[in-house]
Amino acid sequence: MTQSTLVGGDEHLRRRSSTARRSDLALPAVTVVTLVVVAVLVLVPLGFLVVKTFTANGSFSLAAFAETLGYPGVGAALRTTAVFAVLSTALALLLGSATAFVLVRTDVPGRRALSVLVLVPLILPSVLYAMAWVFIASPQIGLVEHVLGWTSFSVYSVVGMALVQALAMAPLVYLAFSGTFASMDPSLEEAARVGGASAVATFRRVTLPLARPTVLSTAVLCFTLSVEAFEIPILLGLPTKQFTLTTLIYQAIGDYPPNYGVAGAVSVLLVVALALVILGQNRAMRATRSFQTISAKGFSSRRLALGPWRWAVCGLAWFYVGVTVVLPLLMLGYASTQGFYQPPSWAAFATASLKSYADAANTPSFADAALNTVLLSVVVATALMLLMSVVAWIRVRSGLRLAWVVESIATIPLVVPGLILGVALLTVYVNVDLGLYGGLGILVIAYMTRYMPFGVRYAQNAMYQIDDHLEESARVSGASRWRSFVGVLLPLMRPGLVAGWVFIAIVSFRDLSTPVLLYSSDSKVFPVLVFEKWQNGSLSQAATMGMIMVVFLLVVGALAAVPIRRSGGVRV
Amino acid sequence: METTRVGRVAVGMGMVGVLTLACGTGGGSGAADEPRPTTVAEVLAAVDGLEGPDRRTRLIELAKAEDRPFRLYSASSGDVVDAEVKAFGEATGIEVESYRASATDLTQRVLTEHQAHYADGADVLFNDYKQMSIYSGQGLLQPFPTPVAQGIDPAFVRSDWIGAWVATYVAAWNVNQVTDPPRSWQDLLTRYKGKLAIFDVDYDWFATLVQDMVREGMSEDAAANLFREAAQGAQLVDQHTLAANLLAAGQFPVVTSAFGYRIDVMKKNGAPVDWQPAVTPIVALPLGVGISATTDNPASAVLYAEWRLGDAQRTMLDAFGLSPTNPQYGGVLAQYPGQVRIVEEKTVTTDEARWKALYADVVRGSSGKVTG
Repeated sequence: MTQSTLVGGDEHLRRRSSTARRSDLALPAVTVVTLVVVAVLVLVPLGFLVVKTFTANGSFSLAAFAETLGYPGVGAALRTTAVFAVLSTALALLLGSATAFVLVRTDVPGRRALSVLVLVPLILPSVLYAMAWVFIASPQIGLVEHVLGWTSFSVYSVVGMALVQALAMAPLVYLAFSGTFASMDPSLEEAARVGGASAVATFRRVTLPLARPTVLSTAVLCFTLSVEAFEIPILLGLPTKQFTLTTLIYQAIGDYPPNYGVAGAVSVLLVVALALVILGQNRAMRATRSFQTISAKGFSSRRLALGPWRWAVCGLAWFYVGVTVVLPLLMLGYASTQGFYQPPSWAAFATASLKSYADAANTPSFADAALNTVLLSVVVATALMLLMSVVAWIRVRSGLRLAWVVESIATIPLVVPGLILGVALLTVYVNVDLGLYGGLGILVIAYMTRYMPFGVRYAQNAMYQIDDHLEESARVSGASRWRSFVGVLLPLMRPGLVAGWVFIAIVSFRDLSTPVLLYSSDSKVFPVLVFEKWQNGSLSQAATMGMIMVVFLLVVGALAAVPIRRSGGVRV
Repeated sequence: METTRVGRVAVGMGMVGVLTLACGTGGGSGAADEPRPTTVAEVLAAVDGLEGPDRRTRLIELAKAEDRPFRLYSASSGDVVDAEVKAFGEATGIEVESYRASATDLTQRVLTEHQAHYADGADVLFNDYKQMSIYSGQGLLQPFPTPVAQGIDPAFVRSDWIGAWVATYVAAWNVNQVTDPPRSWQDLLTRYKGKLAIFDVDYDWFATLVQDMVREGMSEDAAANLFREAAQGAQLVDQHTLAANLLAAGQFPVVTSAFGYRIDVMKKNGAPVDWQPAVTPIVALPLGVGISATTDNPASAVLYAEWRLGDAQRTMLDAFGLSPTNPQYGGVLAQYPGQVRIVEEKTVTTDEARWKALYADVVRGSSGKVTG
């Protein structure tokens, strides 16, 4: 070894060391930037909510809470809301997790087509999905009543509401569990089967416990979504005077001046409840190693062979998709061909036409709205999942004592009513002239805020499954924290991040309420056109727009499926 | 010599050319020098004395000289706004940027922009009676004394906004299920008790009918009880346009306060629905147009408002069944003279809370238990 080599070696080590020090600062720097961005995105609507809820005539007041709790019928509405939320959450978890297991972990035939079709309820605006179920299960005009004469089940009931809400949320659960199951080492289940456990016992005692983070986090999401739901309860509960909390108080927001305090009081109560649930979730997941299925051992994904049950399970899966996806789509498709809705009959089929599709294509700004929406969805989904991957690292890996606070802040937008979110952003960004208001920028902010709680759930679920030894190994080998995050953690999180990306891209495409207050003529988006058709009162035109959205996103989804599969995303 | 002559001719021609240009320019710049009106009052002064096509032509000239986008904020439904914008563009050549939202959402946006002194907000506002009263009270509108208002029912004319069409709340029925339509409100509320669809939000319709019944000699309690008993077993609905569709589908036989224009459009498209002969009195709520106090496009705004209040009323009646506020164009005011009750302003302002509470009690029940 020559002196020059030694000198050169020292120089190389110094350069590596200073590079490592700079890289080591990268992750903390990104963390700080992420925290600032999340805080700004969330504090705007939260600040608005707090001010409107806790002040009256410019001074501190709890009058909003007194008014909310004193609303006529609030007791019955609270009971109905609780039953509705619990029932719909339980059903959604059952249906979504079972679907994900069958499609991701077994060798059921037709799973590629099924895995795309199960997402359709996510694509449709919930108001259209609910209308499709009215067309199917209304005791007066429903298909079931007309064809089978069966009126014992009415969609206009708490059970009916809960069922439709569950079916609308099941794709969200499916995406979350599919990311989890895709990352699961099958050898654990194989060991159980070799040990004599049945498939059901294996699922119950091995698979589900391993998926505990996903179970808890999606339960929180679904429960909160149900408590906050408005469109399904107003369509299916109001006719028989089954009020939930949101439908009981929605008129308060329509007053002048709008009584945001009442709506805010409900949200504040939800925020408190949610924080407690997250703390509970935190305690339940203390022993994080028990869910870590992505380890240094590596695994090759093998599907569970269903054997003689293969075709029966296939039939069951297609029956589920047939009832929950194909049938509502058929009803909407039929409605789109009618000048006015009438229960299906030969006479009605004789008058069917595709005129509404031609009218839709001729809608002013149709093409611009579609383009704006695609751009918005892609930008929002990408930016949000990258941001939330850092939040997930903070929450799960950083070791910060108050990391749960970060998760709670990122989850707060879930309980802020859509209208209040829109009003808050409108108020702030029209006063603080950053050049965002009046263009697509304000919509990007609105969507990122609204879907942050979902993004953080998908990202965290993915992070929880990764054995922390993998990161430690990278660090011991000399990689900086940033390098470990980018080179080790992110690739392993890919299935969960892709699942979150898909979810956010789809729901932002169909979100009716967020853009209503914020769009301008230059930033019109597709959901606004759907909303206008809905408010025009033309069910056929609204159904037409819904069908166009479904076909468009299915085509895009089919085209994107190949690169997503190759990226190790949602397994199909 | 020849060269000199050619040169003199060339110079002469050049001077003629320069003079011609100067005169043309001078003539043109004389017109350009005329100051452009920058306020609605100046625009109205510029067209004062002009009528009909001459007035419109002058307004179009002034509007085309404005260089900022012209913005319409409207609470009319999307198809109506699209049709208005297209028709206005074809009639005048002026492009419109439109923003459309529900009545209350529109108000939220308008007030927020106003409080922030937002520079690119609405030039013209179009909303229902209640919201226009709010805009007027908040100083968002400016006086607009136009001769077009002369033909309009005085009940719809204010100093700073004018009713452009009248939304009617009508009792409507499915003709396949109802062969003997109701003739009066008492007939409807008693004969169809338990079979009705009642709107959860129409306290103004309810208040107006109760007030009319009181004028006819009934006590307010008795009138409210008539509605309360009819609401027992009724279906509650939230959206007028959706309810009209469900009525056509046969979900319920009778609905209490559908929008008349929606029923007319559906009937024209073959739906088995009707509202005529009307159950009277008919409750009506005007939707009006006003010019923003801060508009940078006063000529475009005046042009649009006068166009919309003029023969566009007939166009909108033919296309969408929107009942004009000028009876010469037809509509419900002409068809049912003396039988249309306009919602009183105090019903939707000072007395609003009382009527809302009473209506909620009537249709939802007040005991904390659901009824029906």
